[in-house]
Amino acid sequence: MDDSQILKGVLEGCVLAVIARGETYGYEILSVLDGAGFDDLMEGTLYPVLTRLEKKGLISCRKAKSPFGPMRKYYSITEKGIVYLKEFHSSYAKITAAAQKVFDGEITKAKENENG
Amino acid sequence: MADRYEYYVGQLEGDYLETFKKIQRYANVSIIGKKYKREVLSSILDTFLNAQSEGKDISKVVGKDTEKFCRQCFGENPLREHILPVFEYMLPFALAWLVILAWNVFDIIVSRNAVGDKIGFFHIAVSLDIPPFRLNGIGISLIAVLSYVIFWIMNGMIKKMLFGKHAKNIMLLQCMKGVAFVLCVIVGIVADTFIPFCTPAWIEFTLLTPPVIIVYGILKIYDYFKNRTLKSK
Repeated sequence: MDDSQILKGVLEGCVLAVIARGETYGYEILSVLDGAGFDDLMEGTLYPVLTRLEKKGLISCRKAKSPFGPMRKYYSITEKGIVYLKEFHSSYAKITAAAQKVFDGEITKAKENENG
Repeated sequence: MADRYEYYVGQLEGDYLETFKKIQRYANVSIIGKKYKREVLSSILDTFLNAQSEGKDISKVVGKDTEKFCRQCFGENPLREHILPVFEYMLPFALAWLVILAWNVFDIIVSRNAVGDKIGFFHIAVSLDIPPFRLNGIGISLIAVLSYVIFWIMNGMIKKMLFGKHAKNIMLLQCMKGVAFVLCVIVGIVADTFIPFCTPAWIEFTLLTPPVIIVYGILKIYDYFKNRTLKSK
C-alpha cells in the first residue's frame, strides 16, 4: 500500500515536533525521523516541508557553516509554531482515536458476521 | 568562496561524488535563481558529507529515483524557481541594449558638438549599425525571448538524459545550445535589418530594457524583504 497520502498529513507535524526539541538541521531531522520508523523519508521530501513551515512562519532559520564546511540552515520553532504544534497534537489525537474506534468497530462487525 | 566549495565537493567519494555531480548538472540546466541554487546545493553537499561520514548508503539519502530527488529539492518556491530566473536571464540582454543606447547618446553628443544641432532624446535611434546590418531593441528582444524558449526545451531534454541511458549525448546537446544561441542572434539581426518594423523610437526605448530592469529590481527587493521577514519571525 502507498503510504504517501497518510504521510503527507502527519509529516509537517512530526517535523515541527522534532524542531521544537531544539535548534536543528535537515540531516539531523531526517536521522531522528528515521530512528522513529520513517525509513523511506529522503531529504528531497523534507525540503518542501521545511520550506512550507518557514513560509507559514512556524519555524525560523539561520545560516551558519557546518562542521563539514558547507553552509547549513539551522531551524528553530517560533511562537506561532508552538501554538500550531499544540493544535496539531490535539487534532491528531482526536482523529487517530476516532479512526481506531472505526477500525475496532469494523473488526467486531466482521467477527460477528463470521460467527453468526 | 568558490574554491572552498570545490574543496568540500572533493571530500565526497564514490557514489556520493557521482550523484552530487549529477545533481549539480541538473541544477545548472534548471532555470532557477543563482542564489537559491547555491543554497540548495550547499545544503545537499552538507547532508552528503554527513551521511558519508556515517557510512550510510547513498540510496538512504537520495532514494532510488535521483531525478525525483532533484525535482523535490529544487521546487516549492515559485518566485525563486520560475519567475526571478526569467528576469535574471533577460537582464544581460537588457543591459546590452543600455550599452547600445549609451553609445548612441555619446555619438549624438559628439556629433552635436561638431555640428551644433539640437536633437531630442526620443529622436535618438537606438541601434547598433554594422552596415549592411543593424541591431536594435526589437532584435535584442527577439534574441532574448527566442533563446530563452529554445534553452528551456533543450534543458528539459538534458535533465531527462542525465539520469537515463543517453548520458553521453549530453555534451553534444550542450554544444547544440551554443549553436542555437548563435542562430538566434542571426535571426535577430536579420529581422532588424530586413523587416521594416517601422516602430517609433519611444517603443524601442520602452521595449525590453526598462520593463526588465524595473520588474527584476522589484522582484529582488520583494524577495529580500520577504526572506528577512521570515527570518525575524
